Amino acid sequence: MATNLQFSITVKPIGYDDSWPEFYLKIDNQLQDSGKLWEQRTYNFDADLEDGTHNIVVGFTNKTDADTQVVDDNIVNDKAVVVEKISIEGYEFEDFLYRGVYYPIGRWHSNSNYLSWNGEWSLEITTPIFTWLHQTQHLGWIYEKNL
Amino acid sequence: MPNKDIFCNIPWYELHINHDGSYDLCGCMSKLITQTEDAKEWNIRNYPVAEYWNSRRLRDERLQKMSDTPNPACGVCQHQDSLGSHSKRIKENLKSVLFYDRNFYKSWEQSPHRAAFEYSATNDGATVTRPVSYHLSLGNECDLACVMCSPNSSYKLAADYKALGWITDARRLNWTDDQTLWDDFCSTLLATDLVSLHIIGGEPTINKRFRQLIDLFVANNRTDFSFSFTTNCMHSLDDLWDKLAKFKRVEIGMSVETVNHTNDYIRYGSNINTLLTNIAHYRATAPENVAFVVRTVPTLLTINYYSQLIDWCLDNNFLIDSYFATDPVWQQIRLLPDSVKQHLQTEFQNQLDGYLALAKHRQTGLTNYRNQSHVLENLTSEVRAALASVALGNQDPDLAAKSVLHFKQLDTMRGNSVVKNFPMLQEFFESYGY
Repeated sequence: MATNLQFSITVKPIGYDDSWPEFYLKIDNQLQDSGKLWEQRTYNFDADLEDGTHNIVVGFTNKTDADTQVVDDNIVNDKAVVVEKISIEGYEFEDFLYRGVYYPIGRWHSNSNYLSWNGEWSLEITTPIFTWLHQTQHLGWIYEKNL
Repeated sequence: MPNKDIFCNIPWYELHINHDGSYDLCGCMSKLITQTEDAKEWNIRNYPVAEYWNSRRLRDERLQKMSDTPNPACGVCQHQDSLGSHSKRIKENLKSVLFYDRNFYKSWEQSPHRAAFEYSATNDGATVTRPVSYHLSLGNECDLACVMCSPNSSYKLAADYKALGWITDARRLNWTDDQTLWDDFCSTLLATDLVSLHIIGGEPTINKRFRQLIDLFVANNRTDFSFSFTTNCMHSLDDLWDKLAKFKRVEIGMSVETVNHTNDYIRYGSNINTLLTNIAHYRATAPENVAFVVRTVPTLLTINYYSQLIDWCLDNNFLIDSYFATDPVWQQIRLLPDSVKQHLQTEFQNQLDGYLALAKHRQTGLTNYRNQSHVLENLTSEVRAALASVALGNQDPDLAAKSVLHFKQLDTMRGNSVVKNFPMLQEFFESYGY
């Protein structure tokens, strides 16, 4: 069964001069937006999702080693993408940010919402979404379906 | 689609048995049917659980829960909802993934139990579900006579009511005294896929069936469910810990109304020092699967010390599970004069401001008020409900006069004084002839 779900996702760029991140935002394989990120943006959209597993994906594509400027061992300029906020059906749990997994290319994955290298940050959700919210936010137990 | 302000999943999953063996729809009815004509009919003596489950009474209740007409008997939850508190209805609906906020209808569409609810709507209230959650009174024996309790729940209080001429009958109502009935019921429980079992008062810990029931589950290795009970905290639980440790989860509801000497006036027969010592001992000695929650019934008396109780709960990391008094009606908070309510409004508003400041960096949104990690949210909600409960007006002078008369009669019999315990209400009581 497909369910229409409301999303709100805020992404923030870290950059300087002409060095700003290229990014994309997808729900599964459906592209919501992509391009250069100059300023913090909030995307409000809805999507019809069949029951099952889905992924909210934020990608970062254009970083090179030269984008990180270091002076006296201190980073003075850098390029990155921060997944700032995620709201699903109006619920904006901070937990969503750290439930997502960041897969930087060629490096170890982590639960950071700070994309410091090219790669993807992905939050896996399952629908029916309210059961997922119930379980991930520890709202107690649920009577089994076939009792 | 049902009405979000009315729907409740309890008639599909929970069964409630009163002190006298009568079935009620849940423990939060405004008036339980105990000792009424209905209690003689709808009783475990007449209907085994399986038969009652699809009886006309429960079928009608399911149909009503799917309708736009509220059941007046569900007044306790309706009152809790009106105060913005976390009613039993809301908490139970969460077990069917029905959210209590703006997303009720969307969550309804996705609820894993929607098909079961809709089956009842189109099959004259019949259900394919089974009772897996029990609310059970083992009888009305209690060693306290709390002023806001029902005489059906404490035969000590019933004796006082009878002596005052408020009721005509005061006797032991323990349906569990019937050995055959008890044995049959125990067999039913053992054959049930129990999810939760809650034992209410009387005082469970002085009822012999209470320990027998625990022994029965342990002996049959049937402990994979949530077991809970409410106690007046005047008794040792030391002998229970090893057994309770075997259950999936245990919750102990601790009845406390205030954390000062006035608790002894309210929970008549108790002693606040013993009670607080016992609570500290419970926490120090209970196994890890045991959780604690403070159960309160704020009335026109105890609301005056309620902020103190809430602070104490915060200090001790206790959740509160409250039912703002609807019955006895003569102890409802609304009867207080506006001058007292205004003072309380200021007090609760200040407390709320403080709690919101504490919660500044905490995540907001949907909360399970039974989750131990949400104590601050639980208590903040409690302060909001307390604030709402002291809304100005709606005093009802006739009922206030009845209230004062009742306290005067009770005090005379007990050699007690409500105004000495609650001096902030002296003017109110004296204005009605105390």
